Amino acid sequence: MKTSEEKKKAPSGFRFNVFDAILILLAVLCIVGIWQRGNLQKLFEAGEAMEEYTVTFEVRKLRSTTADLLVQGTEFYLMENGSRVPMGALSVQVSARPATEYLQHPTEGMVEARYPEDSYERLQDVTGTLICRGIEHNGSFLLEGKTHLAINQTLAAYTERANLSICITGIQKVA
Amino acid sequence: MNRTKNEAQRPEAEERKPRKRRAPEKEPQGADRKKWLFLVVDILLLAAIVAVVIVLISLLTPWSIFDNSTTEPRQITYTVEIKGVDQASLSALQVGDTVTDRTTGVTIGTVTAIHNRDFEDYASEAGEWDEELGAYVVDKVIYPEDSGLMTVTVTLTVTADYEAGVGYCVGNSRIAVGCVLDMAFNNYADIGECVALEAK
Repeated sequence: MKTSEEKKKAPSGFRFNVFDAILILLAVLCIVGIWQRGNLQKLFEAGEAMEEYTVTFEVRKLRSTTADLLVQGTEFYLMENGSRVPMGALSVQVSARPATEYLQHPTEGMVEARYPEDSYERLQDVTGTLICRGIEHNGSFLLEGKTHLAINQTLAAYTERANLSICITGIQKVA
Repeated sequence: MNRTKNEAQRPEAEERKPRKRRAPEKEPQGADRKKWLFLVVDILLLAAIVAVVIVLISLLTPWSIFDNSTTEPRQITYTVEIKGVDQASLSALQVGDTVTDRTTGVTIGTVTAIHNRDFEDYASEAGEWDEELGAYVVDKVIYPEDSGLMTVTVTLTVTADYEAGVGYCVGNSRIAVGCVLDMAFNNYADIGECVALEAK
């Protein structure tokens, strides 16, 4: 029979070893990762600090009732791969002028013609300026550090109440 | 040699002694403890794997089980303009019709009003010089009555989910001015553009 001393010295079948410690540490790190997921996500975004830029755009042949929705502070956003990319807010209300288009005139050739007003609609050409955040990377502007924007690019933009097709006319860094 | 009386009685005495029951073999107490510890480690391992998967999905895709978006229901009234509706089909559009978005299959409202006017479109050529405006004007072409074509404006009411900074959605259907909607009425189907939106 074993003595009590021999029993004490006999090694137990389970040891808390390094592998177990790593597993527990991994579980704790995952819990922390879920809790701080917002901050961690920023690490995957642009490593450079984002700066303010003004992006000017125009919308052609927009109904005047829609243009009236585009007031100072209206937030714009894009949809990219199912996720919303903020595009900033209007610095001032958009400026509007009667919509025009170059059309063929029967006798005068190509002329700039204006769309008329009537009781149902008034078409306007609208220009606006957005204040947004982004970075310059290899000479290109990246909105929010990830979406490439360029002059003459036409894209679908959204506000709370309107869908718009905007054409970018200028991108400038805010001094 | 004669055995003593006692010696003779010993085998019988031995037989009379009740046999001790063999106690069942007890596992050492440490073995149960080992099993519980192994189970805890297995659970931790599984939890770690699940947590890693959730974190990776949340970081790398738009989907997240921790979605913090807040929406509130709001009743909206919006107007859709349908161009080029055949006059003979007008009777198929009725106030009270339930309208479904054919793209998403979602019910996007109930018709509360219908108005129609002659179908108009802009000419593809420049018109005459307007002295008052100081510009050439694009003529509007009004289709004749016998063309049978109308421009119909339909007003719908629905309770939509509103999210600040995003807008109004009914299921997967976004309702906004400028949206083109492929609509199915009770007895009619057509494509129209949202031209006005009001929230109550």
